[in-house]
Amino acid sequence: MIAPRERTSIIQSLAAGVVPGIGLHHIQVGRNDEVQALVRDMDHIAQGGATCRFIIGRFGSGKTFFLNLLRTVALQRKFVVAQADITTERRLHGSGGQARSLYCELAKNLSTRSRPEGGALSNLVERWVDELDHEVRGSGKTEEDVRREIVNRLKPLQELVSGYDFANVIAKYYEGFVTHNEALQSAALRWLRGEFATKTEARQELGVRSIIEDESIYDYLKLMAAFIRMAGFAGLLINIDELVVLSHRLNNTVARNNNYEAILRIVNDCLQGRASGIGFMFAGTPECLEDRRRGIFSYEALATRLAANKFVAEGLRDLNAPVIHLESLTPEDCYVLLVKIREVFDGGDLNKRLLPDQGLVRYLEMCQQRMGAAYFQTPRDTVKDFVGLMQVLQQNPDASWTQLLDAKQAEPLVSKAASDAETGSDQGDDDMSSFRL
Amino acid sequence: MDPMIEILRRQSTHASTKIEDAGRTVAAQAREWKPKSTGEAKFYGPGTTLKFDRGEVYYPLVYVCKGILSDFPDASLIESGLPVARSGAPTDDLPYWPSYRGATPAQRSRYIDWLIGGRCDPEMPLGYVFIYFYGLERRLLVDRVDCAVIATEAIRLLSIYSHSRSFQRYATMLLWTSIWMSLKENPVTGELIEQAVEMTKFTDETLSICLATFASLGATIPDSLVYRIAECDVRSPRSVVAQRHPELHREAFMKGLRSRFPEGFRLRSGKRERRLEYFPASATLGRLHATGGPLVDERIPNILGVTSQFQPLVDIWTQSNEDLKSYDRAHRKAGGADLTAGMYEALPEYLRDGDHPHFDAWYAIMDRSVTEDGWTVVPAGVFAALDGLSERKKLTKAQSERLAITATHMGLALEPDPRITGRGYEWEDLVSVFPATDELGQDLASYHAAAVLLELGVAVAASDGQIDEIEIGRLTSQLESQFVLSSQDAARLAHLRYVLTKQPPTEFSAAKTLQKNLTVPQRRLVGELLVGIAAADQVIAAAEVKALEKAYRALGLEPTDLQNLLKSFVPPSDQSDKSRVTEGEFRLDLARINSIMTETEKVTQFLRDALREDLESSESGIAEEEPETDQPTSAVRIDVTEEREQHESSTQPVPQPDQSFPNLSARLVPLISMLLERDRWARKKVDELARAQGLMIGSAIEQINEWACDNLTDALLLEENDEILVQHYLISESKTAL
Repeated sequence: MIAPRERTSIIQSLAAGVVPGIGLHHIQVGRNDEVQALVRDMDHIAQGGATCRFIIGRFGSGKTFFLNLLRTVALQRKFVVAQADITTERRLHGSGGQARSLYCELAKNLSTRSRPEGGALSNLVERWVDELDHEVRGSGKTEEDVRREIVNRLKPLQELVSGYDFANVIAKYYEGFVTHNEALQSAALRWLRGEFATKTEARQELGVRSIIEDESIYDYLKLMAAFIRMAGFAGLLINIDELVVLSHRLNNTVARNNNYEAILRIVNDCLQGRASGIGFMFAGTPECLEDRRRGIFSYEALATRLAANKFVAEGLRDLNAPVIHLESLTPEDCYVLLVKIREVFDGGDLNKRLLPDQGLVRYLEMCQQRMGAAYFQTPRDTVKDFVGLMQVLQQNPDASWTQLLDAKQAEPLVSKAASDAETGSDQGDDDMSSFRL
Repeated sequence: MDPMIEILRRQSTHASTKIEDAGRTVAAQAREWKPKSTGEAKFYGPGTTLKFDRGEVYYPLVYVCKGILSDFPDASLIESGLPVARSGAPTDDLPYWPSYRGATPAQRSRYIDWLIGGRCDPEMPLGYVFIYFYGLERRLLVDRVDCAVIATEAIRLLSIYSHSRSFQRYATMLLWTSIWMSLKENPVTGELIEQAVEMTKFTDETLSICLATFASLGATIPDSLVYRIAECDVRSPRSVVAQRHPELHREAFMKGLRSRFPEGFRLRSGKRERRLEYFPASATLGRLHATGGPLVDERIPNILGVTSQFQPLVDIWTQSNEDLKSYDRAHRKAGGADLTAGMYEALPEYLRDGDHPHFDAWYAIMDRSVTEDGWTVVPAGVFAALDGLSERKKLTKAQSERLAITATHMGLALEPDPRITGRGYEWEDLVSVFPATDELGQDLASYHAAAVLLELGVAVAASDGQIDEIEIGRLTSQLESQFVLSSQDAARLAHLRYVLTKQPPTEFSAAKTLQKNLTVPQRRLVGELLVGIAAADQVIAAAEVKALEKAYRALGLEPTDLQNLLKSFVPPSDQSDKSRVTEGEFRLDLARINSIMTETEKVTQFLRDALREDLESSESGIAEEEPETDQPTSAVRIDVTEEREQHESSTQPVPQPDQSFPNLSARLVPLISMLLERDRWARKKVDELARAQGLMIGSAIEQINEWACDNLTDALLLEENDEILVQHYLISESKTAL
């Protein structure tokens, strides 16, 4: 059963060539072992552990899809998930506000099961504060007692870096609620989202002495994870996509190494048990990981930690290793994917079926003839065009799928080079090509 | 509690305090309770007669003295020296603490008239009754005699004056104290104790004395008292079901009680006894209470202290509530009418008395619907009309299932059974009715599979215009060899076959079930079976081929599968070589696809576990009766109104858990109820509503949505910019699913 909201989201997203935010399990294909491994990670996080994984796959192998799928699973398992893409202006380390910008994006996209589209930070804070308020005032105590209890309950956080100010900001949020001071509430949320640029501003509005800065975002993520667990959630899962930007868009070696060092700190903390209730999923291409000159492996400390298991031979996999390689989709995978997308359109009702099985085969055949085998390695285009075909058939009941496919097949072939340039223009492929040369 | 009594009670507890001082024990000035004698007063007890100038009082139970006492007497003492007005003289109201001496001559006159009249005028102001009652208290607490007589009199008075809660409380306490004290010398009869139990509205104190009495007697607790114990236990959930249907609730409870305690319910007492605390109604005795209080040394077994022994009663009480919930819904739906079919069916089996209300009508219909070959076949609409449904093209699935359930309640079965097929009847659909021993067979899956195959087979066999005996024979033998059916299921299948042959299906809707549940190879096997059936008469007619193509489509199979299969029925020489694959043709590895499908199925299964899509939990979502009309949210709206009324009327809103939103925090129920009134809300307005409930908006939305994700299928409230959208359809879907 597909909820209408999920159906609309899936169709709209796929038609636009992006991964849907919700309902991914309806179009999931294969990946059994990988999903199981990462769900085990979630169990570990829920028990107070920490994990760090690198999802590595070629362009079009479904990394983003996989991250989103994990996000969906995590949300259902009572996790809070933060998701962001690395860009040149949003990265793990920076001196001009780039790291804070990544933190802002993560905080903005913070999602819970009940608010999967992001923006759940305020709900999260309110939920914890509200339940505490209910508990304290239910026993006949005053608002002042609630304030004291907030600071008291958040004392464990004070063991972490910046925990004291974090607790004060939460107390300020409550004060804003009690006094109907929306500005104060808003300022507290802005602070928690890392949107204060100067300490002076933060001190004037909230009376705290620190703000979230470039060098402290990881500490605040750990702090946030601890708070999230106090609020009754299983933990915090942080999905960071497009690692390739660090390796192939950052031309400054020092800047790249600083970012790798930030990753190293995360990997060390997670592997050595210094972090709790938090998980990191990084997604990138093989080049971004294994390139010895620009990739993560150019940073020796990470190269040794993330190196492949030497005993993994052909046909064997080690899914406990920090790095998980995703295989590209095969034509058969694509076929099953198209079957599932068709089911999203018709809801499994044969009477509403827009395209028969022969049509699927014919469509894939056309793809192969037009683009060659590479077409299946970029399912984004395969799926996007297919959704377009389904939408035309849906809106024009009299249209014949055979005619539509025939007409498409008759169009002049697009050259592979042009295709690559088009599809890779925003994916950093230019950089990769130049590097290969 | 009366503040004065409270003060006196505290004083009395100080009276026996001992003080440890410098190594020696000094008894504090323990003031013993020494009420002053009434001097010349005499108690006129059972068997005596008191004569007044205007008449006689038989069995008076009052204290009387000649003349006037010098000291302040007991409030109930009748002093013969005090003036009394003529009978019928107008009187003023008595003061709060009435006494015979403090009364005016006219009031004394009225009191004496009441005594002469047998002390049974229900219109008598309670002040006079209390003057009399004070005498009984003194007799029990000071003289400590006539316990059984006082108990009997207390029961009599309670039967007349229990409309006053104050009198009821004092009289009940006197009653049980007198019964308890009677055990020491001349125990009251069991009959009187039973009367006392029936008469009493228990408080903790009276229940405590009552149970102590039973424990001392070593007697089994009467069922009615056990019911009262469960009712009084704070752990027993309060339900309107018990209030609306007290008799049925009591019956259900008794059934559970007898099942759990076939030998009767016996009590265990705690190791430490507890003090019997008696607070006199009499002002005179109340004042004396300051010197130690009546019954200060009286101890009773502590039964209520062992709360664990009552837990089984709480469980039985809770189960009784649950057992009657469906009946209560049906009762409300029927508008309080006499026993309807719905009410009968909703009753637990052990509470059903007599035949189903539609029993006679169903059997009358069946009698006139027997075919020449002995089958009983009736259009479904005929039975539906008995349920009050007007004629329509199609019954809903729920309406159809209700027919099958009704049949079950009469020891009958229907075929096709919508609970098995998952499809509703059309009004004119024929159903075969037959006696059934079991509700449904044990191996429902096997029967369901056989029934689906039978339906498909008959559809194919009938597609050429006639159902060949050979075709049906092959079908039957296939089904018999494939499925090992019980005799009940075999009979069911025979009835289904008869109906299908009389009204052959033209659609292959049953195939959808198979498409959902079977893999492609399994469905291919089904396809082969159908082709085999069509070929059983050595001819596959064009119409049959068409029907087979239709069946293949419905099964989600490729037409090529069918064509290949049909070719196998054709001699090799007739086959053309058109099927040769041209070079360069795009081909898929079907085995690989199946393998991917299998793997994907595993992932889907795994994801389902991971996502905790537990069917049972979704079924326990919104527990309300299924709506009959196109207003799926009506039941919720009723609750909305109720909740809003509660919210508006209550000055201190303490929301109670609502069955419409099971597992949702009770303090969120008023808010969600209000939000369900509209499709979209301004965020600011929702903020105001949440604040009014003492909630933070973000927290409320988060918790409501989390509940919705657990119990419905999606978040109920969507936040869009400055608006909050309410996904009503989730509630409707959930209710429809139920």
